[in-house]
Amino acid sequence: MSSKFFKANSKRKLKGIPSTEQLKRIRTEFPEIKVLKSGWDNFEIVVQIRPTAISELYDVKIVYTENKWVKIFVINKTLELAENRTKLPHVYDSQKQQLCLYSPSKKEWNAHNYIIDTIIPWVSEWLYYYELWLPEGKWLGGGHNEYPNEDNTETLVNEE
Amino acid sequence: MTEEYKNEVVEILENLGKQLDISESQYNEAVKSYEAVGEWLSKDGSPLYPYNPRILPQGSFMLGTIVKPINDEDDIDIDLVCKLNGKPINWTQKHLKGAVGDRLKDHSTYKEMIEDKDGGRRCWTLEYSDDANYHMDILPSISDKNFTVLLSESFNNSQHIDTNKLAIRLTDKEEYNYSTETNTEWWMKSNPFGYAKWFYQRAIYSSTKMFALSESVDPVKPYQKEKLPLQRAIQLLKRHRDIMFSSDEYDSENRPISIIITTLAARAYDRSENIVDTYVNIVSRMRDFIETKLNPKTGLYERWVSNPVNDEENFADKWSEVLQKEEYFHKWLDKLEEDLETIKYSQGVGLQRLNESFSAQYGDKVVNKAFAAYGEKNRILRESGLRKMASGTGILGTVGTSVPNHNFEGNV
Repeated sequence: MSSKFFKANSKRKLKGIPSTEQLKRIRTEFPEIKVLKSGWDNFEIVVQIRPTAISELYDVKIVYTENKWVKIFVINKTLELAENRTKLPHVYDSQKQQLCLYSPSKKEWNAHNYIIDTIIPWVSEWLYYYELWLPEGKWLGGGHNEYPNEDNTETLVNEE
Repeated sequence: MTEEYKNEVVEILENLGKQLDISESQYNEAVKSYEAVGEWLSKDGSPLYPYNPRILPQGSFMLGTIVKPINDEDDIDIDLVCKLNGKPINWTQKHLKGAVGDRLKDHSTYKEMIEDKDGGRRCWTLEYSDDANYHMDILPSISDKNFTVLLSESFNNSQHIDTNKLAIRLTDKEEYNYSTETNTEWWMKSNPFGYAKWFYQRAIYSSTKMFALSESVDPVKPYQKEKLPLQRAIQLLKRHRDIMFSSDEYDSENRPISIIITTLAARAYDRSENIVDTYVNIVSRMRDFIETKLNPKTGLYERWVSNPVNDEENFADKWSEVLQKEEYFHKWLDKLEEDLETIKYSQGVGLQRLNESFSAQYGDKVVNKAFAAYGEKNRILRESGLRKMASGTGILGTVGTSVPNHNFEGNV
């Protein structure tokens, strides 16, 4: 039952929000979602999100397995990179475009949080700050420093 | 334009406007400098002392439409009036100009700052040091004895007051009577403070904002962070002009001058309350306020942008001498109209594309800073629990459910 996304308290055997309940709430707020898969303890859906009226429209795949993980991917386009960067900011995998939206170590998300109230707004924020990141490769959304070795001389560091 | 879209563009343009402002410290520095000049001119012991000389800002510094230069190293131009209450009866323009210059040159620091020891056509120019990044054009002039009283009355009381009484008389080397006429009635007249009053009356869009009039129009006012939509629009217009005419394609000498831009924009302003409507409407209507009039002096018809406080003065008088000036003005308006499409039709294009278009139109440095300020402000709102997301679309703003605070992570 342990995963890097959940720090469930095994002694209390407290289970998180059931998958069906999660999905129901998402559907209430976003009736247009596409359900790719839906099992008794898991689902895969695509939500369309536009962070501002100026912004592009993004198809975001959410893969959820109860008490295991929630994974987020942008799937409708290859996300461009800022000219001075070699990978996307705040992702688990730049190729797969899998987003990293919160700090697991700070326990910002657990199985008792509704995806609709947390993950989805955070996706929208990620997309917002991604569009703002593109011109100069600067992340303005907070979180850990993506470019810790960068001084103010505009010399780029090896990001690999 | 949907409301949602417009509000977002408003936010970005507001931030851009702020980036065009000179900084508060620069402003305060400049005020301190010109007050020191005023102090020196009016001090007991100064030959000008009996006429109570005062230095007052005029032009864009007073109108709140000053714009940072494109290059940080470039100087800001601060226009000042040095006005005396009366003069010795036998003084001509030349005497007045000379007396102000002599007093400045009596000061060891100012003496060094005057590069043109003979003075300009109408002004004395003080060049401040490189790190101050500004120079001051000081216009010697004579005002009505009751000028100060009239000035404060005219702005405290929004009723019609004869702005003519705010007029000043100035010296001009190119006037035929420069070194002969002692009666100021025959000196050239200018009315920068009457103009300012007219401008603010155009700029203030609702009665609830009237309280701002007396403050904003007092020539000696503290730095203003918040600007009226008309002021912001004029800053954008001027910056757009600066960028367009910095290209080698043009002779920058003949680019549209600020007073024409400011006057036409203020006339075209429809009292919209947000910067997007203000800007779009001004640009679409500006051209309509250029008149064609018979010039009684030449007997010819010419394009005319009249001074709102003096019908007989044509701000576009040079257009008939240098045809390129008029041609450039229309080229600039054409380009503006084209560029405003960016503001009208960027729905769904991506913030990065809007950034790119604005960078080309207003310069990438200020535009990047404006977008950064916009993003950071929204991060702070989220950290304070004030950022929301709308259901159905995911649009962030003031509608919907709160975005909980979080920290973006990821593999480095």
